[in-house]
Amino acid sequence: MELEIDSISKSFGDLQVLNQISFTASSGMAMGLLGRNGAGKTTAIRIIMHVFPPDAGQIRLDGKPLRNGLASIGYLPEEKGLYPKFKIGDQLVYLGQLRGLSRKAAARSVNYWLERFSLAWYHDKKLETLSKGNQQKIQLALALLADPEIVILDEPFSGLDPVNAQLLKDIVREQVDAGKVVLFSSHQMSYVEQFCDNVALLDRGQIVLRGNLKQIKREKAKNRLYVQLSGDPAASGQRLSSLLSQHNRLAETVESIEASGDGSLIHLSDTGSRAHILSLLAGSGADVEQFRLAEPSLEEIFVEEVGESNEKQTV
Amino acid sequence: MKSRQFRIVMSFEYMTYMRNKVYIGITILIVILLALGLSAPKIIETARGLGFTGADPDIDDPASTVYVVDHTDDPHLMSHLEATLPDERWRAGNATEIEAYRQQIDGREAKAALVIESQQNLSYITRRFGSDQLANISERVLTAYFQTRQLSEAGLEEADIDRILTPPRMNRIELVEEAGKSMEQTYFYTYLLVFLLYMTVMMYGQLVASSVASEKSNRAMEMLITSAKPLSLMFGKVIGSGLAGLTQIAVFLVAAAGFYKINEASWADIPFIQSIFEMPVHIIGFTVLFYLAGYFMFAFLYGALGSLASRIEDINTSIMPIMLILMSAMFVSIFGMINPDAQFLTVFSFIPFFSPMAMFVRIAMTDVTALEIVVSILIMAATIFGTGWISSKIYRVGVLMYGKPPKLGELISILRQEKA
Repeated sequence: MELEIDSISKSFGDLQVLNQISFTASSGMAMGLLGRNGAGKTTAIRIIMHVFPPDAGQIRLDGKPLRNGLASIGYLPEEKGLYPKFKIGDQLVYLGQLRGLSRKAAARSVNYWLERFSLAWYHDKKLETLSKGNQQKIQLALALLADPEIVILDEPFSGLDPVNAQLLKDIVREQVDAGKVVLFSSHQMSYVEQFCDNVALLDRGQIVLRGNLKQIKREKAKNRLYVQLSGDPAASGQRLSSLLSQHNRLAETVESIEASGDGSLIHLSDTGSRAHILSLLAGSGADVEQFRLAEPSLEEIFVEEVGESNEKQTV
Repeated sequence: MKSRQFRIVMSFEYMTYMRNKVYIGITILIVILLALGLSAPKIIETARGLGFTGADPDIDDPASTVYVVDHTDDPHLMSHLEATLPDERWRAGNATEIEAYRQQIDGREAKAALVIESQQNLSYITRRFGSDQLANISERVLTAYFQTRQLSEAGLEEADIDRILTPPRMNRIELVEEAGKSMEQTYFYTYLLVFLLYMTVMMYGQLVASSVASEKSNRAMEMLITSAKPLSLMFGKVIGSGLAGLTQIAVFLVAAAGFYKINEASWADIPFIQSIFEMPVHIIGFTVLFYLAGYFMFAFLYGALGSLASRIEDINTSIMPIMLILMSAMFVSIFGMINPDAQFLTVFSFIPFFSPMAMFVRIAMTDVTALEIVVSILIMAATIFGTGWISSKIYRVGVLMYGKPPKLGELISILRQEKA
């Protein structure tokens, strides 16, 4: 299955929230929709959920327009909340029925998921008696209740302790392995990194980066060189930068050198200069301990992409 | 709107009321009050039979003493009072002791003092005029006594005196074509039912509004709106709550009728209670019909305005406009009951929002042609359709809007944009 978001635009009044965004989420591969607060993630999700129509563009599932697909989408909203005064079992069955399950099937599914989250004991308790983390688990159970083909999780990890986060990770992986289309929205990069095969980075209503996370990292790594010389890190860093600055041609392509761990991270504007640096180091007689491409973390990519555009805005 | 979703929402909303302890508690409480109220004569009777004297004054208690200070020195007056009003503790008093009596009355050691200055000038001294009817009663007794004495002094026979003193009795006869539409018989139950209409429409309307707003404030709306169509959500909620209201009205009517039937004999002497319970059956039919019409007319708007509030506290200001219309409708109808044939009531019975109550008053108290009723019902149906339509528009936008509720002008421009 393939969920294809094609050139979606949406404005509220004079404010353009989404501008021609496109990305694709495939089954068996988790998709991460990233962006800062207010970037348009929730609006994009709401359009997928048919809460309101897009001004332009189309959403397709396996090439066909996604219509009335409510029943096959499971959704964990960012703003978590249900009826605090109602019994947990009752409200889950109710919402399961709204999502197309029969009463019996809903009740069965509720029992399964409560069991799964070790919350079966709370079936007849009011929601407000649960801790915040447990309420979040109830919400997740709700998202998965109708065994949806598409699972959309908006900030699923906020408020979970490490044990519950692990439980959530296991369940999400299970969903991915079961061939579901899983769409994550988050600004917690470490979780996205662990899960998502593909990412789309949204900034002020536009996709600024999109694709396979590994490829993106590899692509970004081409211009990032990690070099570690033996000896005192500070002194060897000094030595490295003086070495590079002496070389005229390299001085142009080296954008920056910064300390990173026990070595230095060199940003290049031209991937071709890697060979020059290697030969330069070999000729200088320096004792090279490590010379490799440095893959950036997703967080670094995020800050680089979104932080940069922010600077542009302020200028 | 998906009819399956609508049914699920409706039955969930309805069952929410049926499980709500406050709803059940209030219903039971009112049924108990109806039971007590309608069984009151029987309860009092039974209590008396068991030896409780109830409200009867204790003749042996000095605090119930009524002093009689007679400046006319009539030798028979005291005995006449004692004979006519044997339940009072009459004591002949002395004109010189008046000040002492005043103090006793003030200190609750005596009940009152009756001072007869002359035939034309009586005083009744009491601590505070309240439920005590003795002043009026003794005035009547003494008036008759003085009149009889003078007429008998003038040489008239006792039979003649009786004839002279018996006032004429006015028989009130209303000429109305249909039985059961006289002012006297219809006034009380119409008043009760109009008030019941007003109370239930207001109560359930507010419940709808606060239920929508609380779904927004606890963010359950986020799940609801992504699980079901807004129209199913709104119509399900409004109609589910309406059915809960209808259930409650039905319980009250059945309970009232039941307890009246049990105690029917005790109410035989009180015509206005009888008139309430002997209302024509079609009036109950119209009560249900106009409850439904009035409820839906307002409830959709309550739901829409509830969707504009982000917090429960915002509701009161949001729903103020409908509250005012609803209250005006009630006042127009209650005021119209004084003269149900008045032109203005006829006019209001065809004006949207006013017609359910105004038309109900007219049907209950006057003769309304079938055509007028049909036209009024059609107007109500059109109004309900209109409020349902505009409310669903507002609701669709409102449920996702957080922050300060929009002003009317802002709302109109938002709705325009949605259309475009």
